[in-house]
Amino acid sequence: MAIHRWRDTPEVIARMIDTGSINSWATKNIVLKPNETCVIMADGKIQDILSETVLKNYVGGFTRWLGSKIGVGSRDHKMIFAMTGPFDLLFKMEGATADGGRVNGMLNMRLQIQRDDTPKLVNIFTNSGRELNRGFFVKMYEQEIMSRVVVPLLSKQADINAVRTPDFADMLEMAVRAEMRGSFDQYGITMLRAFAVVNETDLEKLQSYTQQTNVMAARADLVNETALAAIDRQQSLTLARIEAEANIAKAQARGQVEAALESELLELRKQEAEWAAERHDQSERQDIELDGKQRKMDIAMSAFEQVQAAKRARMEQQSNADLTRQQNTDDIQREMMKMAADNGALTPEVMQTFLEQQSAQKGQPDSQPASQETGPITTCGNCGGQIQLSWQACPHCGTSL
Amino acid sequence: MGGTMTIGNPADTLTYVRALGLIVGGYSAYQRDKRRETDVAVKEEILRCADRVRTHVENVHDDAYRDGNVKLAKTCQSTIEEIDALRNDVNLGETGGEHPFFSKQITTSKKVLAKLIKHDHETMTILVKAVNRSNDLEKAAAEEGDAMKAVRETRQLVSSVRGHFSERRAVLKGIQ
Repeated sequence: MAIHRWRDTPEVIARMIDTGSINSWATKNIVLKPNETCVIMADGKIQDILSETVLKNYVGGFTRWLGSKIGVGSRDHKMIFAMTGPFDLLFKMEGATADGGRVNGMLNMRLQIQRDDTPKLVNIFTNSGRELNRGFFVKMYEQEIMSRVVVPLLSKQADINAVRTPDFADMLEMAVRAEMRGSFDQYGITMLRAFAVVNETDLEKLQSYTQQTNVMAARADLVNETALAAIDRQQSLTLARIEAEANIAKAQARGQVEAALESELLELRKQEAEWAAERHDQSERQDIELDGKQRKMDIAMSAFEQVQAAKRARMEQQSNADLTRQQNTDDIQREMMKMAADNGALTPEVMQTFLEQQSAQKGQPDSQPASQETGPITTCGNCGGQIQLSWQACPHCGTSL
Repeated sequence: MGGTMTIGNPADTLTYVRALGLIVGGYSAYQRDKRRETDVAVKEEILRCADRVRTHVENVHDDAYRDGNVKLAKTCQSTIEEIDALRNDVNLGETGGEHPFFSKQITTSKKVLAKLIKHDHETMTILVKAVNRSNDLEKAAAEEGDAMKAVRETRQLVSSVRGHFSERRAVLKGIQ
């Protein structure tokens, strides 16, 4: 017995056929598996919903074709087949998070058509073709899911990291279940699961690229640092070798120079010894000459001292003579004063004159300095005696000047 | 649930059959020629009850999400997933053949059928509790009650149904 297959590709979810459209000479059976169901509609009524059974000789065959031609049986006899197992639909998901980051991904929804809900597919067949596949359901619900669920939910997320949290997955499933329940029920579809697969965003790509760039830069830096360290090490070794060689050369040169200097020093010391001997000889000679001169000087000085001593003796002798003479003069004047006093002629003017004469006598040996003290001479207005301008009183009359 | 009770006489299952008859429309108690239909009817009833629980939990989930009660919404979501898993188990559970029932190699006895009826009754009883609890859940959520506790209890009951239903296969394999 031939079997009529109501679908030949897994993409087909449901199909409605007219039994009269199946033309074959022999009748065919229809086998309904546990995850398949069939709704039989005849004359505009839903007659039965079948599953897990075999519809024997249900379609095709010459007699059925003939009956339809002569008007035997139902004129309108349709069958709606549907797969009652879960099927997945992929919806393109686009939106933006609160920070403006674009989010692209796929929304995976697992749906199911319950056996008792299969007749509701008539609502779809009314407005579309006779075959419903996954693409049809995606196209039918895509805009509604985007506008009612995805975009509003994404806009509440702070950033892309929030979209990847388990909370967002839960919220997305709740939102789909709550917001789309009515639309799904209308066509007999039950939502089982929903989850989102978010693609890598531009920001994440940029971060990834930045990270890769940083790693490459760090690696390049490390290589450069290693190379520089090697160069530095090589440079240090070269400098150390050059320094060692220079030190060796310096030591050699220093040795040669020291030897030459020692030789030269010996020559200098030799010459210095010669010069020292010459200087000593000259010094001895000069000492001898100086001793002669000193001796002459001492003789001269001794003679000078003798002259000075004779001079001092002569001056002392003269001084004694002056004192004696002064003493004699004083005695004479004292007698004259005594005689004047005895005679009553000792007036102040006489006394003053006496004193002046005595002063003049005392200054006589040193007449030159006395003359130096003598100022301009004038006459006293009282007595007409000679006086000097610097005097305070007239020695002749005692009048104050 | 009468786990130690031995059902040897079909009359002992009468209570269960009547109870199941009240829950499952067209329940035929695995009568000859209607055993597969009975099995399908039980499964469909489980699916219908699961749908009812799912609808209640989805209502609470949507309100919790819109109110910003993420914790409650998450718990509702896990409950919905548990219900979906139960539906998948029931949808893809083995249905047996036309004859002999459930096994090509072994025959069916009345004793085993009675055991199966009792097991179905227990499954449906737990499921009805789950439906009632989900109804309480929605009511609690609407009246600012302890919705979190209710949704967790609902999930626990659904899990119990799922586990209990998985034992059905063992019961069927035990048919001799």
